[in-house]
Amino acid sequence: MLILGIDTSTDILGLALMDSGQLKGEYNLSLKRQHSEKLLPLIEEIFELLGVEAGDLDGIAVAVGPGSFTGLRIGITTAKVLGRIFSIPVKGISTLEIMAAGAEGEYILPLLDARRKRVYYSFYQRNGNKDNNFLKEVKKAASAGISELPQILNEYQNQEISIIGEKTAEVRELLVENNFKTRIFEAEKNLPRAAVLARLGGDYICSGQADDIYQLKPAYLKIPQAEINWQQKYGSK
Amino acid sequence: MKSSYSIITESPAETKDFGRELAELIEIPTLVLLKGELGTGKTLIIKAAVSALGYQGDVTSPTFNLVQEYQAEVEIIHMDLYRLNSSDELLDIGFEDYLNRNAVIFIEWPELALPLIPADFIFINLEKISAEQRKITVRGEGEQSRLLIERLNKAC
Repeated sequence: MLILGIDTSTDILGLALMDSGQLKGEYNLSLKRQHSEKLLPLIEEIFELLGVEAGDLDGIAVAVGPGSFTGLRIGITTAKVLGRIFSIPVKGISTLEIMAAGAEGEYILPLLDARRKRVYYSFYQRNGNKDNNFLKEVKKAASAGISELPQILNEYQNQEISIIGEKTAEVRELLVENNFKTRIFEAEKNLPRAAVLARLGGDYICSGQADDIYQLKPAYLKIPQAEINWQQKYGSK
Repeated sequence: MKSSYSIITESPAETKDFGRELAELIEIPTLVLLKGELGTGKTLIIKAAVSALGYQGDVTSPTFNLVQEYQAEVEIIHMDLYRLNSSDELLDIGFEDYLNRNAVIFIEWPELALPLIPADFIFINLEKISAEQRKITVRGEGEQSRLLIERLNKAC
C-alpha cells in the first residue's frame, strides 16, 4: 500500500512516500511561503527519483493544520485532486497529531506558534485508546495564551509531558516553574515530519477512516470568542 | 493612564505630521487600523508614515487590489477593505497570513477585519470637523497601543 504524505501547513514543506510500513523517501524542506510554487514540482521530483507514478498511489495523507491559510489550501487541494483523479482514499490529519505521533512519551503536548504569545495546542495520550493504537486526543486542538497552559494542564502535573513543536523552550520553562515534569526533543524530531504523516495516513486508511474529499476542510481554528468583540467597541462611531 | 489620545489637526499638513509621528512611535511588528469617511485623511496618514519608515516609492490606497506591500527597512503592508463585503472574503485573500508577518500593517476600512484580529492593535479614528480640520483619536488593545498612546500623550 503506497501512501503519499503532503504537509504544507507550516513553513516546512513535507512530502513522503510510505510503502506498506516502509519509508521510501521524504522531504522536510524549510521553504517559507513558497509552498505554492514548490509543491507540485517536488511531488514530480520525488516520484521520479523513487520510480513511482501517481497512478501507483493507494492513498493520500494530508496535514490539515492548524496552519497558514494559504499554505493549507495548497496541500489540501492537491490531495483532493489526486484523490479524485485516481479514485484513492484521502485522510486529513491534524498537524498537531503528526508532531505528537513523532514524539516519545505517554503524555504529549504539540505546539504551533499562534503569534503574540499564543499557541495552538492539543494534548495527547499515547496509550489512551483501548481498541486501537492511535493517540488519544485528551484535550482538543485550541489556541491559548502561553501563560494559560499551566492552568489548562493542571491535572497532569504529576505526569511527564513531552513538549514538541514551536515555542517549546518558552513553554517548557513556564511549565517547569509551575512544577511540571517535562521533556523536549532535539531539532531533527521537533517538527511535523512527513514520514510520520504518511505512516499515520496509511494506518487510518487501513482502519477504514479515510475522509470524504468533499467534506475535508482545513482544521481552521477560530479566534477565541473573548477576542472578537471589537465590533461593538470599534465598529460603530 | 489615559486609554486614548486625541488631537485636532488644522490642515492636511498637520494630519501628515501626525502620520510621521505615528511612524516614529510604533514598534515593529504592529497592526494599525484606520477608520474614517472618504476624504478624512486615512491614506494621507499612511503615506506620511510609510515615507517616515523609509519607503520612498508611491503610496496609494489599494482599493482595487486590496493589498499593497512596500519594502523599506521594515516590511510594510497596506490594505484597503472598502470593496469587500464579508469577513469570509478576507479569509480568502489569506488575511491571517498577513497578520502573522513581521511587518507594519495598515488597514483602511477595517470593520470587516475586526472579528479576525487578535487583542493587539492600534485603532485610529478620523472625523471631519471642517474642510481642513480633522479630529484624530487613537485607541486600541494590547501593549503596543498602550505604549503608543502613552508616547503620544507625552509628546504633547
